[in-house]
Amino acid sequence: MKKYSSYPFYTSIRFRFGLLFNCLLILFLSAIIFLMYAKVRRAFENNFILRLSTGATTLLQKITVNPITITLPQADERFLVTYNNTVRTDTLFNNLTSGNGFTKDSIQKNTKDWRITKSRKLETGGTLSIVYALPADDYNASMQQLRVLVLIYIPAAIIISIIAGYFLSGIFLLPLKEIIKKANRTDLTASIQLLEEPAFKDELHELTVALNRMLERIDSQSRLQNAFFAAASHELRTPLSNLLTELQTTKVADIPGEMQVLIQNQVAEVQRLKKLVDNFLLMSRLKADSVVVNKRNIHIAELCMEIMERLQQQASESGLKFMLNISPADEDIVVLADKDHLTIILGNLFSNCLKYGVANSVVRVDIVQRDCVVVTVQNETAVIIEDVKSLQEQFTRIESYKEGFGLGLWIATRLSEINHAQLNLHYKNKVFSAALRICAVVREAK
Amino acid sequence: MKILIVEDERKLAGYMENGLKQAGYLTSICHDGAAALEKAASEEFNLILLDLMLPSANGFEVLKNLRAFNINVPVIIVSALSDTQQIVEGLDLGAVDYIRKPFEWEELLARIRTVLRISSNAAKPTFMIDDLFIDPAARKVLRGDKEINLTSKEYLLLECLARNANRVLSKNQLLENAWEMSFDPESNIIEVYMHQLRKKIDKGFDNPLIKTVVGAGYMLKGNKKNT
Repeated sequence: MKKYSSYPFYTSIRFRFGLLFNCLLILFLSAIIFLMYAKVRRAFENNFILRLSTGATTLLQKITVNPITITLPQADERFLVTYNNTVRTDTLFNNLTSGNGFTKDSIQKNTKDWRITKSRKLETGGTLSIVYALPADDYNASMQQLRVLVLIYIPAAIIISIIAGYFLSGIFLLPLKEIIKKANRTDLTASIQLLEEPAFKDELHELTVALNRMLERIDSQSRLQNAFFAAASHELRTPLSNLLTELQTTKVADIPGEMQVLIQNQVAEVQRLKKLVDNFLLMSRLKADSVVVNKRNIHIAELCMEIMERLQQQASESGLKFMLNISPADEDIVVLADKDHLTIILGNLFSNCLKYGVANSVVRVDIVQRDCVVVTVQNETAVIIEDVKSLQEQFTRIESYKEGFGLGLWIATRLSEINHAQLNLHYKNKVFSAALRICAVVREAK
Repeated sequence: MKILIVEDERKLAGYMENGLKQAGYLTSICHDGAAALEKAASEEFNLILLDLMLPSANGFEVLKNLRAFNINVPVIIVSALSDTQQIVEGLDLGAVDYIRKPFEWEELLARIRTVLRISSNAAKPTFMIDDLFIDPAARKVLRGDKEINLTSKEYLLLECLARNANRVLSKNQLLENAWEMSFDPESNIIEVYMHQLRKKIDKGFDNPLIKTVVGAGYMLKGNKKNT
């Protein structure tokens, strides 16, 4: 099965959506800030122009030419008053600090002051004109404050938009996350649960429906596959059962000696075939990821002894003995695993030791519990092992003339993996050892 | 001892019947689930060997109905189905054992013997050594009022010690009785199991019952009463 892949954060859809939302929000917030800035600036300007205009108009109304009367300027007021008749232009008052000429624009916006030009027709026929100026310090200070505010708001808006974009994309992708979560939970060992269809009809609804259709197809295939395994298992095992039971229940005492040998040989062949069928069926299930793991508490020493008892005859025939050591001696060593799988794993390891062990030697089994439980099976082999790691691959055999298909250790390795255990093989100086490390240990109060 | 063989494969049922007869059992055969139920309800059997894939009613249904009708005959499932789920389901429904086809005949006979021994243990007497109570039928062990949970090997070891109470048993005698196999003498199984037994039986009590006789072996010491 393909393992779950990890990816850098920046390649995630959430990040990309977040970035998109972020850009959109920045654009939106920037536009709002710009519009607000422009509006406030215009309001300040209009206000200032109104002040200028009122000042100039009031002053112009109060000025008379005959006799010449001009209201004296306030502290911050500057103005230039001229009288213009058809013949000449007379300056009546001027306290402008610079640029005292009239301009075409009625309003002149300088850095230091703003000026407005107004004129009034007199009954004498002449024109009284005024260039009225007020210092722009207040306006400039207000505008400066506004700019500072905008400069603070823009980074704040960016940060807010990043956070909002990330959360929005998270909310937007929530149904997708749910789909991924459920898809990760889906395997062929149990019946497949369909995804819940969202109420809102959109692309996600379409995706969910499409995925559900796919899951239904997978479920149906998985059912067919399981039915095939069940049928294959039944059909292959039934004739073998008939053969084995017939041969083993034949009254050996009633038949001639040569026939007795023949029956014994046939039994051995059927047993070999039975082992092969078991291994092939298990291999197919492992390859199809349809092996169910039913974890429960297993007293590992008792299981080892059960298997050893089962293999006792084989051990006696080769003159081999088991030596079992358990450490620590004052604790019940209990692991959490599938008992059937652990039986197959340990059974394969023990029977391999008996198959390839030196006659009249000892198969040493050590059960040690520290952080994890490690079961080490060790014996001296009668054969040389060139590449011990390759034994965990399919169809790798130490000796081609020995029975077996080279599946035992591959099956043991795969079953260890699905039980979250680790099987390591070592070979040195004609001593083979296999260490099964199980970390799902059930701790009991001493 | 009468055994009901429920097997749709006629040839296999025949071979099993022959083998069981040779081993000294009385047998009866059914080839489908419904007939098996009828037979189990009308006759008394000591054991049922039950296949799972049967016509009319499958093995699980037979098992469910047997328990529903309070027919508490021990059942060993004999099936070619080898999924852990199926084994678990069978055992959960009340089967006492599960053997996969094709099976070793000797193994089937051994399992039959074990099941029949346990069910016949129901009639066996219980015994007490001081305040230690052992009920072989229920595999129940009490020290005073405290129930003691033992693993299968721990129990066998204790029963062996209890049956031979006040007699010294060597390490080899204990190995032979509880394990039925010969281990390398350097194994520490007996030491480990005696340690576990002591922890469970003697810890917290004033008078320890398990004694080590240096250089000779172990002994369960106390006043023995068979009840």
